[in-house]
Amino acid sequence: MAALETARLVLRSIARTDAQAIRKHFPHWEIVKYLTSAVPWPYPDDGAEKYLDTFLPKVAAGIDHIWGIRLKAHLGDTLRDEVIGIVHFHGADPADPEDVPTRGFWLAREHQGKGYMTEAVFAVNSYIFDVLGVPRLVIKNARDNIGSRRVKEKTGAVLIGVEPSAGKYLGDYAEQEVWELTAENFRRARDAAGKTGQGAT
Amino acid sequence: MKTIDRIETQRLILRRWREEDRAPFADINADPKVMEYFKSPLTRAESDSFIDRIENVFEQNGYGFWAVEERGSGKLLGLTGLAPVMFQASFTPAVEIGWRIASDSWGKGYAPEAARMVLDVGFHRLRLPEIVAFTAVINKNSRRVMEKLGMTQDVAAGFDHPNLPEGHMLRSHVLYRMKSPVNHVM
Repeated sequence: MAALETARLVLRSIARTDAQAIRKHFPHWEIVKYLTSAVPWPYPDDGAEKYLDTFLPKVAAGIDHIWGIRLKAHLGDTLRDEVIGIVHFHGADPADPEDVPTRGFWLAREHQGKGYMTEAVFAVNSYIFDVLGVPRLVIKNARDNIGSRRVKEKTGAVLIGVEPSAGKYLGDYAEQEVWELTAENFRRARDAAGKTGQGAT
Repeated sequence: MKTIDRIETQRLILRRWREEDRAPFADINADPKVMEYFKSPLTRAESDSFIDRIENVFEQNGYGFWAVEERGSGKLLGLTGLAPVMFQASFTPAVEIGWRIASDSWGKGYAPEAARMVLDVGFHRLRLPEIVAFTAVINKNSRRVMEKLGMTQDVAAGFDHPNLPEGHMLRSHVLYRMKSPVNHVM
């Protein structure tokens, strides 16, 4: 899978060697409270390895695409060059007729609020719609997850509903927002924002 | 046939051909530097007919050689894309990846940037089991891009291009292959 590049980021396919960075940046309540209750919590010591064990075969099968986000400014700096977040695209499993394409993401706490995720999502969406040819994504977030909602709004997603979500999130939020992102709406947002897709600034 | 009409990368837009591409594409095809490893530079009529043939490939296959435009400036840089190999050889039937970039835009990594996305389109979207590339043995620049992309030379599949006469210095071709990284059996 090709690496994606933006003004400040490089997104590469996730690898086993990223487990340590995931262990460092991911298992924090401020991050996981907004994620599916399928994430084990408290996070076990081998949680990152288990995640990779589960999903790397799906990446190899071309069903899932998982990008590790790295800061360009830290590339080659052995102390700081590491994955600081993930964008995970799940393509519909051809063996499961109920399955729909979706996408999730998280970013290390200290790197939030700088527009990195919006930049990463512009690049990943370009790949999902232009390269993979996915026509439409349905993406959801806990209603309280304002950061995630902002990224969706900026990248062309349209809110299509709010539904009960008891038990679905580690943070046990009562409701979740359901968003639809079509290729057409994303491209319109990309053009309107003057964003460059993978080169968003 | 649903065609793939647009692919955006960090610096490039790969898209279907437009009427206004004909003049700048003819300039690229008339440039002896660009055409050093082809039989000869193309006339305007030959260049136009090349675009027509490319568009025909799109209509038949859904993919083809996309026009490559520089983001921001909108300048036509050339082409990158996929096409079924139109002649018979030991490795056909096959789908090839190819590129042609205006000489004033060489050295910026545009060909690999476009080609990486095109390979992903081929493997992940079109689910091709393999993509090949070929060029004249002496075309070191193109071979370097193939190697940069991670393609592997298949020495045994080297061939003489059937459209070039015997004894022509460009007739002897190398073949590079890339197998799909997608494991279709989970």
